[in-house]
Amino acid sequence: MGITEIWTTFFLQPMVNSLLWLYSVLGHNFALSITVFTIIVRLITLPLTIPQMTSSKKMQELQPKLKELKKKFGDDKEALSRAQMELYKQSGVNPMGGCLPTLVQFPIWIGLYQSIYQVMAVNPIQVLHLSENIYLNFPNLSQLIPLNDRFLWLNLGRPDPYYILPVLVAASMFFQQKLMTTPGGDPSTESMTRSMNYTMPLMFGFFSLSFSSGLSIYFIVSSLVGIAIQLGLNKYMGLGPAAQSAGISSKKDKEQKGLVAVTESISSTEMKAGQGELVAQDVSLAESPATFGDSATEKGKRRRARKKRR
Amino acid sequence: MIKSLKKIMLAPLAVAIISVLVGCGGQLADSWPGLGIDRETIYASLGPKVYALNKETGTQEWVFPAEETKNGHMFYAPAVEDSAGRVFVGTFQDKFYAFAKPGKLLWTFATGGAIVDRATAVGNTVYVGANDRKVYALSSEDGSTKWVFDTQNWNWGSPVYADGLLYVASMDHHVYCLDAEDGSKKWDYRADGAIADAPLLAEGRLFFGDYNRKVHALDAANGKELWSFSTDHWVWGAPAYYDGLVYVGDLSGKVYALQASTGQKKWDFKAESGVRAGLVAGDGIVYVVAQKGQGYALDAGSGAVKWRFAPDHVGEGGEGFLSTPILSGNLLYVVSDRGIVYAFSTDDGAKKWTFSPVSKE
Repeated sequence: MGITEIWTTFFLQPMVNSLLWLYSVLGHNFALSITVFTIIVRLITLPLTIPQMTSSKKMQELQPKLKELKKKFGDDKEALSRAQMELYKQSGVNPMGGCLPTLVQFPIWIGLYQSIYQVMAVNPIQVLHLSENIYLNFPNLSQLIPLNDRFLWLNLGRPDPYYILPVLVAASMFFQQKLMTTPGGDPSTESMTRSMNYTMPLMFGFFSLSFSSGLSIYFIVSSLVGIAIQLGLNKYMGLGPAAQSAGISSKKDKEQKGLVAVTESISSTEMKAGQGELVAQDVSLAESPATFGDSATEKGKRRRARKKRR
Repeated sequence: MIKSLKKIMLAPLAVAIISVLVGCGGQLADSWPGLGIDRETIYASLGPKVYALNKETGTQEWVFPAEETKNGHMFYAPAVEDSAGRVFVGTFQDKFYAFAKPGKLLWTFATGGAIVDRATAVGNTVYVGANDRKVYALSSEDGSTKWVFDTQNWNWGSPVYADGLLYVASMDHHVYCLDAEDGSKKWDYRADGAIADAPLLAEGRLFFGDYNRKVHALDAANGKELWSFSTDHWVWGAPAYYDGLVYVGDLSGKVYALQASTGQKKWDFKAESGVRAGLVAGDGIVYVVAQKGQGYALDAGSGAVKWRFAPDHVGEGGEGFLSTPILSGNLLYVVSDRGIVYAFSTDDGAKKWTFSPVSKE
């Protein structure tokens, strides 16, 4: 069995047929089926999404600290690497933690996208491809073809004539990306992230001008689910600016406060070169509330602690 | 190092995502090439152009449109010629054209959806179904609308005309019998699956297959079902009729010979790949073309293979046969999915001529 057969048999076909089944039970409304299907798949992959988002968030939050370490150790790469690893270890962050869940989710995203694309077959070639992936023995699925392609003002197999969906695709993707990134990181990566925040949504909005409306609906729903998951994480796990602006204190908050202490202690032992620099670093920490979620009271406490150390 | 590792891993991911999205959403072929015929000419609709070829020699006589289409993507459905020499062809870009030989445009009609199969021209009227869920009766002279009939889904099969009646099989699972004069409905029949090709009219009966793996026979006078037959896979192409038997192929590659009167199976045959195209039959032979480029001439009475035919490029990545062949005189015309037209002798399957638009341009 080649890779194509494995892909088709274990990913694509189950998804295609699940989507068709959903269509049959959701009143033959394909837009609703895409929405429900996307939400279900995103919920199933939530155990993969959460560690990825958490890890990515934590990594972003460590950026100012990493920057400081770089500044301190300069060319001493070995010491820098040791200090970085120590920082990761003490703050409980696996720097590669975000990659594996992303890699595992990747085929699922592709499968989700391809299944929606296949089921929404609008021309003979596409219907012929669909016929190869439909479960013939699953009662009544073949009877559903072709799907009802009308929804509100849309022909789901064609682009939105009023350009509403491309705008929504770009806007929802922008908000999702905006929510996932935290200001105050490494300036070099930050500028890249900022440009990605604008170019990716614009690019997808542009694609959606020629994509069928059904796919645009998928992109919008997918982004909205991403936003919901991110907001949920921010709220309940104390990640990111949303939690901080809401002034939410949780178990994770406390852990992160501990993280500040850990990083400070690493810095103070490693950076023996000069007190002035240590103060400067601590000030920079205190001035990056977005990354650490500190409250004004905590800042005050830290200032007092610094004075005491001096 | 970790950061660069991440970049190394994420960059191909981003590229892959974008290529998958663009690849899947991009402009791919809409359908397969199609053939039409009149007394002297084979009309080959090969994607963006319609080629008029000499039936006997395969030489190109003219092409429509003569210039490249300015708006880029264009895909023509099979063409048809009426008794006055006007040629009609629809496109997947919601346009229907009438032109005079050699390729002079007479008029254009805009539908609200793609036109997949050939129109049916009778007298001064041309009938065509479209993906906008409508069947149109247009004046052959100026393209003005005579009537419009609404269906509930796409219309992919050609309408069939007989004795003032028009039979339309639709993807909405229905077969409609309409008054050809005013478009009023005489009767309809609902199958459990979509009907993607024209029904076959023979012995006062309509024969057709559907996506729900059934072949049906209806009384053409009132639409009552006479019999049905279960197949292994979807039936897409139109059946053929010869000497009391109806022949139909399915997407699993099975070909069935059924008694037209009872639906009883006389024989079956398994092609090496799926049979998407309609079948044609004549002079005791049933011609079957299969998706991966296999062609069979079967004995109409027994299903035995008399001879085989194939395109020039066979095997993995080679040409496939998706379009219904045309049988005329002692030649069988077949077009491959790469747009190469072949004429085979019906005596022994010898290749008489080949036409490839690439070699002509």
